[in-house]
Amino acid sequence: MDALSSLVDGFAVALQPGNLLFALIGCVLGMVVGVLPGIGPIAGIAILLPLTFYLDPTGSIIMLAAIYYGAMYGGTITTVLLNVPGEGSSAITAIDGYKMAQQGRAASALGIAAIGSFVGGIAATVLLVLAAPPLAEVALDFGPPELFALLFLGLTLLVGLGSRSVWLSMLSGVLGLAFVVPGTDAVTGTPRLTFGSVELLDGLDFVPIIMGLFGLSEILYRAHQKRSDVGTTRSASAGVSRRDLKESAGAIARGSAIGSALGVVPGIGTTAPTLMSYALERRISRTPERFGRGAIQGVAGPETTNNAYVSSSMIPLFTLGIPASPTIAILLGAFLINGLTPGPALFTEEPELVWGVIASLFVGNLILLVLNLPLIRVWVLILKIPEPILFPLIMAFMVLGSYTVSRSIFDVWVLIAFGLLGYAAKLLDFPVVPIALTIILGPLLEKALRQSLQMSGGDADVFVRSPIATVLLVAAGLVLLSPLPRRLYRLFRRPDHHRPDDRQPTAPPS
Amino acid sequence: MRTTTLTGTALAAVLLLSAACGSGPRGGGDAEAAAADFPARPITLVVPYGAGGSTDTIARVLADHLERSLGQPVAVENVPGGVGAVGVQRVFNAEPDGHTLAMASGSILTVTPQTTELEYDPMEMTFVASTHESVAARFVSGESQWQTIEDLVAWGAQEGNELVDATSGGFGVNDIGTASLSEAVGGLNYRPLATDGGAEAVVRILAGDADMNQNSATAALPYVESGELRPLLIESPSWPELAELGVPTSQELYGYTIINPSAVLAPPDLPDEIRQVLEDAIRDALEDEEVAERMRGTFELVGFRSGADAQEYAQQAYDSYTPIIEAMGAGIGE
Repeated sequence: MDALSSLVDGFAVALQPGNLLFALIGCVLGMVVGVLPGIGPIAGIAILLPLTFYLDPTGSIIMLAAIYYGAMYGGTITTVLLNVPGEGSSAITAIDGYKMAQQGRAASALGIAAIGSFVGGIAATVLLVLAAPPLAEVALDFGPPELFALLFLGLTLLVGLGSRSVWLSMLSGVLGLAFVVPGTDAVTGTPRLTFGSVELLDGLDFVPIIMGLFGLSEILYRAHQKRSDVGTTRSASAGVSRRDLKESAGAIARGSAIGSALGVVPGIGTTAPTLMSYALERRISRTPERFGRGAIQGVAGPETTNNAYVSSSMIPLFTLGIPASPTIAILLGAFLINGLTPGPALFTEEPELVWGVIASLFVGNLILLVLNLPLIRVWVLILKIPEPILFPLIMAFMVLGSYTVSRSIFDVWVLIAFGLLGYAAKLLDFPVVPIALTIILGPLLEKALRQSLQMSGGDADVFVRSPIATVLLVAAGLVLLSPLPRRLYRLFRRPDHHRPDDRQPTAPPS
Repeated sequence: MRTTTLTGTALAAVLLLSAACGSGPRGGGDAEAAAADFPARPITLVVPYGAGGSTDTIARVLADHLERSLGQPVAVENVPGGVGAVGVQRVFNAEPDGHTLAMASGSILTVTPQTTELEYDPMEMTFVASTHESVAARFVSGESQWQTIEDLVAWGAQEGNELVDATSGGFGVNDIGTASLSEAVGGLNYRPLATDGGAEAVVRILAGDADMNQNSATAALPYVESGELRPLLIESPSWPELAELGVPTSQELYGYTIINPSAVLAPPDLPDEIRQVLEDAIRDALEDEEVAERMRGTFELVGFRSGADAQEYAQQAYDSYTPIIEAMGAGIGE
């Protein structure tokens, strides 16, 4: 109960008017940063770092943390409304979120994202209060072999995503892997397929790729469709209904669990957990065919996950002083600049600060909810802008966002190339979602695999020696083999039929 | 009609004026005249890395002060890519008028030009001044069996043993450090474990996945204070906090040292008058105790060097690495 009484003291700090204001400012800035493509929470926090020289440490850290979780929600807004994922952590939401918006359910998608974000953030913070030290130990046990096994499991869950054919999905996934090969080899430091280009030394950036594949291709496709005069529903209906809540409850609960669990795993980043949440929801759904056509679980799960992840990633930071993600690493920098050293001693040396920041996670997530539910009505007005005006605006927005990533015209070309690729894929009914997923998971997977083998000196038994990795790999094997019995059954019972084409992007509301 | 014409004329006049101002120092050609009204417009300080690292933080603190002393906005622009190569190239190709600068540190000056084919030579740029250098030391886990560098070296030299060295991935200063140590002691058995950098390297050591690594103060010092990391050898010329703990230097024990300088760079052929204005402004900034204190928050070794000193120091580091890079077969064309 010691933790609870400390938490009460923390609330006394977090609810001071000044600190409340910092949390509010952080939430708003975070949302802005999330809405703007190309500027992520990392840049947002780093730019404001000098500000902490002039503020008191508690207030500034409350604000910087709020930017992080505010950005998680901000990224959702453009994703759902415009199909332009502002952040990687919202990319997967584009699949069903944007479909919902097209079906006139934008308000309900944004609403469920806000509610899920709130629940996820609170659930992970409760975990932080109650079980931070034991979870921190787990974080250290989760090394490269375990991470590899986990990511491999994630990839198997994703196979078959967004397409009627497993083979097409796998082909698309492999294509995605090909796009992440160029760059500097992380182990040897030698350039890999860079063709002498300095821009390619760091590989292709994820943001322009995802904006091209999802956003630009959609605009091109819609413009093309206009000629054949296919109308779409663009009105924005009322907010979250009771039915929405009921349908999403499970996804929100599982998203909270995934985000909280993966937040303590160093090195996984904010995006991969959202993919895993989406894949899990689709796998266990009784109606997987609704995914990709506006399934609310496809929004609720990932959006809950990313906010839960943010709160949970504070656990290794506070208890061990370990940054679980690049954004947290900058937050760690903010501690250090202010003369604070994260780690076990921080709880005893600076209890006011630690518990104040933890309490602010509760307060900030509430602020985010209260701020956003009424704002949804404003956001959906964007959909009322006529397409001839809206589309060029979005395109300008995407070009600007791609340029901002590293202030280079090169990334604008990447955006355009992937926009055309996505457009062609739509015409050919080729799935692009697996491309995007392997682009995110591929580099993580490669690094974990090579690190594991470096640790073991080349022995593959490093994956079997770790019980956690073994369990995860066995699970992956089961997932891969699970469709087999049904397939064999169908093979012998009757000739296999292709399922009807379910990738009509403008399916009417169901 | 009349008002329209008037407005139009006024507009044209303003445009002409602003064009003249904008092109003044650029097209003038007369260096002295350019220096007299320098800075004529906002200055861009390119940080060739992503936002948030210690170089980035120092650049932002410096920009904050330069803005006040030079009377023009100083915008910090992050241009990451190629471990610094992309951002520095941007400045290399800019107009040499002092309005575009780079804050470069470490490998891009001393290692990358020797290991990666670049379209330019960073050492040809104008060195304006230096604000800091990064310190480096070799660490093991606080729970490890090695109490001193001699323990570690003895274990690593034995047949059948192999140390796992957490590196920053690719080829960088820390690989040179380990290779230098190995050479000085007549051969260490070790293999690298590539990580994303200092912070992850610490995690791998704490988790027991790696045995040792060379790390910077920003990433390592907090864990030294908590006892989770044990410093065995200072590999940079000095590191005051660790020297106080009685940690020996590689210079005294093994005769090598790792220099990791930083420099504020301008395009080649920056007129010396302008360079001097900037150098003086940076010196003033570092003499401001508040500014220096904030920079020290990053745990880098903060201290002013003139442009000439900074260039000499970087060249010294560059040259000292050449034989090791060649011996490791990491140089260009190998």
